[in-house]
Amino acid sequence: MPLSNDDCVDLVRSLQTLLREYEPEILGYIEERARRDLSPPRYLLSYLDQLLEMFEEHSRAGGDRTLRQLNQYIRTENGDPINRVSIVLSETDREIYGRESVDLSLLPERRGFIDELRAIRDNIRNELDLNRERERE
Amino acid sequence: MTKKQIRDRITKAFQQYFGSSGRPVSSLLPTIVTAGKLYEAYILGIVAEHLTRDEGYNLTLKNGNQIALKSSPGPINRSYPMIEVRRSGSCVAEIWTDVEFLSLSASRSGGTGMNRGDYHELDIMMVDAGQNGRPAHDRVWLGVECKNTGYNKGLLKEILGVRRELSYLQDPKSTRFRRWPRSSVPADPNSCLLVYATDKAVLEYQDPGQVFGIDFIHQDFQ
Repeated sequence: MPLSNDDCVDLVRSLQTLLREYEPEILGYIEERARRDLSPPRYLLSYLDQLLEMFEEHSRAGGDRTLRQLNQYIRTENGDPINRVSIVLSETDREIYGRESVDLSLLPERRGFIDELRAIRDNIRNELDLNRERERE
Repeated sequence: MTKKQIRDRITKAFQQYFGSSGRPVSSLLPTIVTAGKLYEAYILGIVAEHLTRDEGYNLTLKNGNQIALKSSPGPINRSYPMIEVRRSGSCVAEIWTDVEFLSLSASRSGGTGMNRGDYHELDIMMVDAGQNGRPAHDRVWLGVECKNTGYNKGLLKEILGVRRELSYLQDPKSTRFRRWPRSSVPADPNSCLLVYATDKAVLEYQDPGQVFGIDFIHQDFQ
């Protein structure tokens, strides 16, 4: 049975529940930027897109790719490669998080999870495209 | 796939991944602070690629072997890592991340430059060599904004404001670049301004960019 608008809304709710349980901070970030002007199917896809972007960026593969790109075109004074990307925290952030900086090379490996999430997103997209074709016929 | 099949598959993916890895990434890294930052560093690498390959510059990271982004923008602090841009052995410019420039309006009003409206942030900024504090708007060669998020009208209005605070709209003038990012720009001073975004929708905002000299570029991060 093709995905209805209600199905898409339910799937967004399921994603919210999972994020609330496993990654509440990422849920807050995505909710803040959610495109509520979209139709339920497009909203679901946009939600998954944002989720993928967040997880991609917070994965070791993303960190490695970034270092490779930087090292290909930027030299260092001592000839060693650029070894990390870090974020120096502001005074307030230092107080809140109890540290001076964040090392982005400590990101977890998420390849399998991201690939699976992307496959699910692509499946839903195909499903919704099919729905549109059926409607046109 | 049915709704149930999709829901089961998503749930299984979360359970498998988070069940085995234990702590969520947000317990290791504060997501609000880190969101968009790795994309910014990646785009710095893309900008470095163009400056090296298309413009023939040599880039050297100074003050350490790490790229240090900031959770909050501020003035240039010369003890932080930065990138020297060299041509024929001479340093002609520098690249800084998360720094603020003094606005055109602050320069016109003769203000102190200390009020909040007197300066604006750019994720990546290429400026005249040797700058300290907040460089004046006419010291900027190239400004880059990086958005690893959905691109919307609010972000367009923001970048139009930045363009206004960098330059007047003028007949096209030569930039400091031979061809990348562009050889001429309808702006005086002649800074270039780029927006990189992971969202393809960024390309829907090209029309005002063509008039005011802002280039919108879709760049995936994968």
